[in-house]
Amino acid sequence: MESNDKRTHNVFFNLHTVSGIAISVGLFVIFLAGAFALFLEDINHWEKNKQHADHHYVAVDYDRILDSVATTDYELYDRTFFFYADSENCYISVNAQPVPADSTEKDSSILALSGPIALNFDMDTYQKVESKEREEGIGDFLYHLHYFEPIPVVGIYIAGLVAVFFLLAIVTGIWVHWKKIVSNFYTFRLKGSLKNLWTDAHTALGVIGLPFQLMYAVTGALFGLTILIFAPSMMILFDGDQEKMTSYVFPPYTPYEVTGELTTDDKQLSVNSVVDQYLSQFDRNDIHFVTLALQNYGDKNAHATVMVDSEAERSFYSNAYAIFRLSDGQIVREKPMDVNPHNESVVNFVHLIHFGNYGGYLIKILYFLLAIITCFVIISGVMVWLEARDKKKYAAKQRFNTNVGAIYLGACMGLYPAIAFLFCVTKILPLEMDSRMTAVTGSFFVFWLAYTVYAYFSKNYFHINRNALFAAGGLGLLIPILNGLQAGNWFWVAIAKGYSNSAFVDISWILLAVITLVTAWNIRPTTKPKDRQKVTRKRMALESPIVLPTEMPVVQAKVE
Amino acid sequence: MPANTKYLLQSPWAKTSKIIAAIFGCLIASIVVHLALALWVDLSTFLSISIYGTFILWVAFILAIYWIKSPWKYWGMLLAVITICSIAIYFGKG
Repeated sequence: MESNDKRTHNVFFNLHTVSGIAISVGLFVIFLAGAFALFLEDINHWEKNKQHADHHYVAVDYDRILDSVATTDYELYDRTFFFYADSENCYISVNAQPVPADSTEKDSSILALSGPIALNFDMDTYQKVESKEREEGIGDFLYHLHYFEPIPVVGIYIAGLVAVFFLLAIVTGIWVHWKKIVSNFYTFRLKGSLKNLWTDAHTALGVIGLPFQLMYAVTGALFGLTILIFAPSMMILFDGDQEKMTSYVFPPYTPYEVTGELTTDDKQLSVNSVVDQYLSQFDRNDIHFVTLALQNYGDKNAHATVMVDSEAERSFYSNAYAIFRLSDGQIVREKPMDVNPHNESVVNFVHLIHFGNYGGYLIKILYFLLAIITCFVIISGVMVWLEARDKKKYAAKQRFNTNVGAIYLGACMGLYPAIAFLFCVTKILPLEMDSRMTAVTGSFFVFWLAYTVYAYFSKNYFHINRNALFAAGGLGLLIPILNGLQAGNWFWVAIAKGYSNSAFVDISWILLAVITLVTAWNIRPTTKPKDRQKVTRKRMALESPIVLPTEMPVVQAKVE
Repeated sequence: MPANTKYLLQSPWAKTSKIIAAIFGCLIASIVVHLALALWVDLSTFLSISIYGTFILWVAFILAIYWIKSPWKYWGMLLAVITICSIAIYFGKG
């Protein structure tokens, strides 16, 4: 029994080490880029020098817009329209999927008119306006980097797999640590060996961040590997019928049959009357936004889904919806705001907790701090792995371990100054430049790669860690200055002028940079790095005589 | 200290077999368990549970097969789970 316990302990410990080391760099990128991506909108507005976006509810005259759409040449029958009022850009957008292929004739002129619809109407005049193409910002870039989108096709699946192994590493880590979980939580051995310091940091911070990390491991896996759940469910439970599954997973978008019978205007209720009837039960000031989906347009069996998002209670669940049958105005399906059955709330709930969209800035700042703690857990895990192998027993693998360690640390720690550099570059390059994002992100990747290469040649873990902090702190302090020089948005000016996103990013960077620099100044190597180099050299010298004799005869033979 | 290697698998074949079982076997087992439950117990509930449950059960299966020592036993367990659930799915559909 005793030996069985020992075996389980060692097997799970090994599982923890292997899965942890395998995903370390990927996981670090996910958490650090993700921490910044929490503030995606702030960063984008900061970059484009835009004022704080005021998202508020706008009443929309849906019938008037439908009339305008009807004047276009598009084929409208049997379409599903989505309406969204964009209060930031002051327009109402109307989108529709192409007409289902089987209901159109195979004529190219008809095909063009049955294609997707994407129109925008001015909020006040209801005139058609050109759609403003949404420009990508560095906030979007960091968000995409967060799930490895720069890696073509498979990036998001890799991110999902990393999350699964993260879950495995968490569970095995807790298992291994279980017996000492309470006592070690209060232990922090700052003096003595470096390995103890890293181990204590790894376990204590790992336990503090546990619920947060567990949540992200599961929700992250879900976002990355959605296909693994939906593909088999769709094939087996719904016989490949995607629409049928939609009604289970996203009930507001439950599809309804098309009868094929056209409806006449007087027999159908106006969309406005249905929406107004539904919205009358809410206080106008509480409504955050309203989305409308209009299904089977022009058909006898047309349905309208009105979705309301409320701001009244800052709670997890602040959404309600109702599906109306337009022929008689009956509600066919409804979810009031205070009723949240499990099977309708999972997707919504996962979104809220993953993106931290439920408690304003306070929650996001807490998420950010917990993400940084998780980054520290990852780095300290790599350091424990390295320190534990810095022994004579592992001399044969010393060179390999040192190289791997240097690259891992360089790639991880280098990301932090690279992100600071990204913020600097975007403020240096003029906003009207051609292919601007390519230049900005390109220089980001070059900086990151350069730091990794530097780390590989330096091989001094202490220097790699400390210099990354110095670089990030220095560049971080430059960010608000460059922002002030480029746009005149010094943070005190920005606050006064209502550019609150801009001020938020600037002030956050100042705080972050100061903390980073103070940390960098105060960390000291516990073991002298020179000793390690000496040891490494000695070992290399010890190894070389073994190599030389086998090579020498060959060289001599050539000389002769 | 790193894990004591005397308790770990030494043969590369045994290691590979275990990794394949952990990644593919456990994933398939986890998916079919959820599908079978959705068909036999309640479609709507288990479809929404499967959204997060698949990954949790996947990792639970990985822990189980690393805990079980004999490759016959863990492959047997995985195949038993997959076979039973597949039969359940077959009859649940019919």
